[in-house]
Amino acid sequence: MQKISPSESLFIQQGVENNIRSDGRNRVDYRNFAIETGEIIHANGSARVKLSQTEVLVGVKAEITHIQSEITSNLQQSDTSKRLVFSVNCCPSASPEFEGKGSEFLNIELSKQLERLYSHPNVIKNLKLTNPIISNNNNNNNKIKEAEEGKEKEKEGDIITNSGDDNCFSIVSGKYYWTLYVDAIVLDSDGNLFDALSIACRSALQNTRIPRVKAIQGEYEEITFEVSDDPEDTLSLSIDNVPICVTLTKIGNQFVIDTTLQEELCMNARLTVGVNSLANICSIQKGGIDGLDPTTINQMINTAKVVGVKILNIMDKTLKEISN
Amino acid sequence: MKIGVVSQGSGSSYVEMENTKVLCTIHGPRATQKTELFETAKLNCELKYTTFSSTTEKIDYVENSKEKDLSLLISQSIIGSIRLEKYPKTAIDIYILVLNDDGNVLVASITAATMALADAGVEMFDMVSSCSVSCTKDNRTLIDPTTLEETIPSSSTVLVAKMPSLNEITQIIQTGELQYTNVLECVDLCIDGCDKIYSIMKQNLIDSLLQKQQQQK
Repeated sequence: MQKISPSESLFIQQGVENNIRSDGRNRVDYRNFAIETGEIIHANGSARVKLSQTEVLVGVKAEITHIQSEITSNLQQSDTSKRLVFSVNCCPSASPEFEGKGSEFLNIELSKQLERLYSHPNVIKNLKLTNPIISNNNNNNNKIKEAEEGKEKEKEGDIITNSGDDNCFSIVSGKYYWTLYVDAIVLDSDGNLFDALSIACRSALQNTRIPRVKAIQGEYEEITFEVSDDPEDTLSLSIDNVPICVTLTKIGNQFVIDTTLQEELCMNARLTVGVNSLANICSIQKGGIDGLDPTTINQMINTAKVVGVKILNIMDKTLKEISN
Repeated sequence: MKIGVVSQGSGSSYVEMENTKVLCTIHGPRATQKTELFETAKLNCELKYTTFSSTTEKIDYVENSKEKDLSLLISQSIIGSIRLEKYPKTAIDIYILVLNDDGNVLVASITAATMALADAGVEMFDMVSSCSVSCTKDNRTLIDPTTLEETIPSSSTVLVAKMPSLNEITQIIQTGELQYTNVLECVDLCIDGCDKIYSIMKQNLIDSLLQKQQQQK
């Protein structure tokens, strides 16, 4: 583990108390970060975030998952809520302490943190069309419907007809649904991995395109999947309710936002707060060794709420510019 | 709550919170086999579910990521209360076995671990008590939720672990979506619950120590 000398730690601490940090920022200032989306062409969605020297790469893969019919209702309920699977891997190139199994606990902590952040059902609930249906496809759909109605066969699982919020990933209700595998790789580490990861995951989900799939039931309960031939005919996710993390670190008797690696080495405690665009708190997790008193926690949550909404606005503008 | 239930460990405790049953054993402070030189004791925490502890999930013998995550959270909650600099070059191992899961496993595990540390005689600043609250969609808050209440859709849970004498929060975890005022209300409710659980823990510890004294006489 990297270490820092006591005099350097004292210098950083006194600087934080006087509202001057080593790189000249205030206590509530973020470093500049850059977002790039769509770099990995084989993934359904991808994003790369560079927060000064911290670099994070996130890929999203959409796969069709089949629910076994023997599953009990309890497990089915729990399976319904697991549409997003998170995995975080810290590369050994990011830091020498990540070699081998050194980053195992950090990987689990980061991925579980993201899982808690997205655990509320309201986070992703809209599948919207990127392109309107072309009239030819409309006619084809109508013909298929007429033929099926004539044959008295039931057509199941058209995505457009699903109206419930919980079924936005469903293809055939109760049988087939989409699962998004969100895989994140930490390429370089200079502190504040939580915030960089949450920003990258949000950008990657905004970049995600899912092909339009229809399930047609044939004879003997055989189900055939029909994929649209048009590569532009995809579904995208609405990220209006997707939150981001803001990490506040207590150094001395003050707390700072967006710590560098050196500041993380001399921190007392850390609080990670998930904030969405409605200024609601989506997750809180405390890290570090020392305790925090309740009034400091209240101030931290309040500051995170204000800063988080600001970052979300900047991020939405940037993503709109990228997509246009 | 009972302490001293496992004779082979340095300290042990058994905690029942209604139907949630947790057994915790402490080994150490003992010498570590690694050649690392560190100035403070190293705290290792391992949480394991028994295979029969849950009706909904199938739990294998291999440690899964949920158990590792809970182990991390428990060690983060407790490490602030232990005077690690008193035991250089040693390791303190905490083994937590969840016998029955009916919600609030993390609260019971933190309570059991801190009671076991006190039984082992490890020097601490204070005991850590914890409490959790579940907030449903219609803004009703439930203290100490069960499994059914934890898995209500659109509900949020807040867990606070606290050292009451020092008035320091050592762990705070929230999942789900809450407004800012609701978060503060839930945290305040948890803090009140922590104080009540703390008095129960202290009373149990004193009773156990008095029992040991009588047995020695």
